[in-house]
Amino acid sequence: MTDAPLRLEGVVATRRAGGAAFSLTIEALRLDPGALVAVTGASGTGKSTLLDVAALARRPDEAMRLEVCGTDAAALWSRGAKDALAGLRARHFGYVLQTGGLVPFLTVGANAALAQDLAGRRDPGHLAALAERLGIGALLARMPATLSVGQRQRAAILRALAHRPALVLADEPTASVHPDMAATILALLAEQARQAGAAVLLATHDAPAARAAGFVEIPLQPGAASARLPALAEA
Amino acid sequence: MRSLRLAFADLRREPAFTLCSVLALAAVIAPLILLAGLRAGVVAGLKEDLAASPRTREIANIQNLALDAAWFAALAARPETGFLVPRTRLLSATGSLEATARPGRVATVEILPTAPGDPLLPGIAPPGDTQVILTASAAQRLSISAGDAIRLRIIRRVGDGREVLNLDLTTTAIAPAGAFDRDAIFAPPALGRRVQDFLDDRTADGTARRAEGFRLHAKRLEDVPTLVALLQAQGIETRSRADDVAALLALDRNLTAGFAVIATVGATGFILGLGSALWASVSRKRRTLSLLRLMGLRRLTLVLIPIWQGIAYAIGGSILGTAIAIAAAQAVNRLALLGAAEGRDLARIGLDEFTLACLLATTAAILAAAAAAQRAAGADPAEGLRDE
Repeated sequence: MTDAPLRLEGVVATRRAGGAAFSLTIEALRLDPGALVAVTGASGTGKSTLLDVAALARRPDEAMRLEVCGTDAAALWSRGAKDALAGLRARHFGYVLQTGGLVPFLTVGANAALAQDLAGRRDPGHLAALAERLGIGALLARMPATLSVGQRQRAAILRALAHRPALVLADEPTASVHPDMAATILALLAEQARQAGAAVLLATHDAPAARAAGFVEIPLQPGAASARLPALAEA
Repeated sequence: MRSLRLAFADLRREPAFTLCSVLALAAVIAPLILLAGLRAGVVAGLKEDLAASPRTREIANIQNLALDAAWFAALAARPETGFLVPRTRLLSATGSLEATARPGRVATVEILPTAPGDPLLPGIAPPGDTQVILTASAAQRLSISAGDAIRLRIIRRVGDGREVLNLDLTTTAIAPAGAFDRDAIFAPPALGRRVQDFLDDRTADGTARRAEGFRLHAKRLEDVPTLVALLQAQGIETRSRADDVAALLALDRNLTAGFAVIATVGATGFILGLGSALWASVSRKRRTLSLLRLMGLRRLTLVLIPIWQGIAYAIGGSILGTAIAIAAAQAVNRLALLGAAEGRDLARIGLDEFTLACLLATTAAILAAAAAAQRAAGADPAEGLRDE
């Protein structure tokens, strides 16, 4: 049986900004291969905190279970094994960020190739085919700064999926694009992830667009200094 | 190597910034290389002047002595000694010389002892018992060539009369022009002793003889002051160019010290300049570095990125700085701005100076990049998730 790309149980993470602190409790969240989950809510509801913990970019205060593809990431955090965590991220995660999050000094093709290199899955043929499916086959030699926002998001999806990750983490990938384009981007992300068998954890303000693209929504409520992701939110 | 590829990809994306950084470093490096070239040129030029003549390394006694074989053996064994041969009394070592084929044309010559390895006679075989080597001046005066038979005449006073010793000899070679300026013959030490014995009306009895003096050459220029000091400590007054050599060595030391001070100031500026540029670059690209960390780059790879960039700046700056310094050195040499001697380069910049500049600049670049690397190592993957 394939390990779940991501399993969180009893995870508590606190974020401090200025003098205020915000705490997020995740009772249980399990993303199976191919799952499309959208965490929705206004700013300050814990979407970013959840994404940081899931991306192994933030150490949780507590974690009964924090697993990535069967690897105990909580143990790596407690050992301070940051390079091992980086290795997990490289092998199993892909990222689509608000304005793409591409490395600015690499071409589109080199960005995607770097993800493959880091994951140890160099596959130029797969990269080229994926780029064609995303409609950016002719843009591989372009630098990110020369692309439109829409092209950049497609390039980000290319990089996120080029190394066949188990999980794609997407943080507000449509916040900077026109609403019409937003639906297209999310649909493309969902379709390509489904084809690749990758799960997607999406953080977005745009719940309708996420639902329309086939994402299961987990809404977070605003206004509290803490938030709770109940166990029933499993996908 | 991934870190190297990323470092260079980043440099290529900002050619103007990269060029400015290289130019700034070249502006620091070029004067240092020129200064090193001037130091090398001035000192090397003076050294060449002194080293051109083996007589610079010559040390001669200025009073008659009584030196035994043990003294010569001890001095010959010293590492500073290049050539040593006993000589006779200073005033008695003269005679009248004429070509056997052209009697009547006479020159008074000094008799100088020689032996194998004589630095004044490079490449010339030492003469045998009845053979001599003429100085160029004596050979010209008497029109004598190598192979000519000559007669050396020594005259001594006995009461009111005179006695003459005629020595029939063969000229085996003519010494180089710079070997000795006056009319002289280089002869085996035994010949000089025979002349002195004749003048002293003494018969060689086979007992150990003491020498009244020596011909001594130091092995290197730097050894001259050491040997002079050693002899002085034994109460032996000498004539040499030790003062010139000491002055040159002092000049070399002073120039080296001055260069070291200026180079230290320059290197400090180099490190601070490059360090701050790399620090600023890492600060500016902190989000990109965080993104790379988020993508799974190891900490060491991130650390190496500013270090490779620092090394690239240093090598680029060294190449450009050396090119500028060479152009400046050629201008200095052409114009002889500081009164360079004819035909000699006042500033010399060669592969050594370039290699040294590269090595020092690269070392300084690694030091300069250390702080930036430390900052890069702290890149937080969570920052990479947030687009600004």
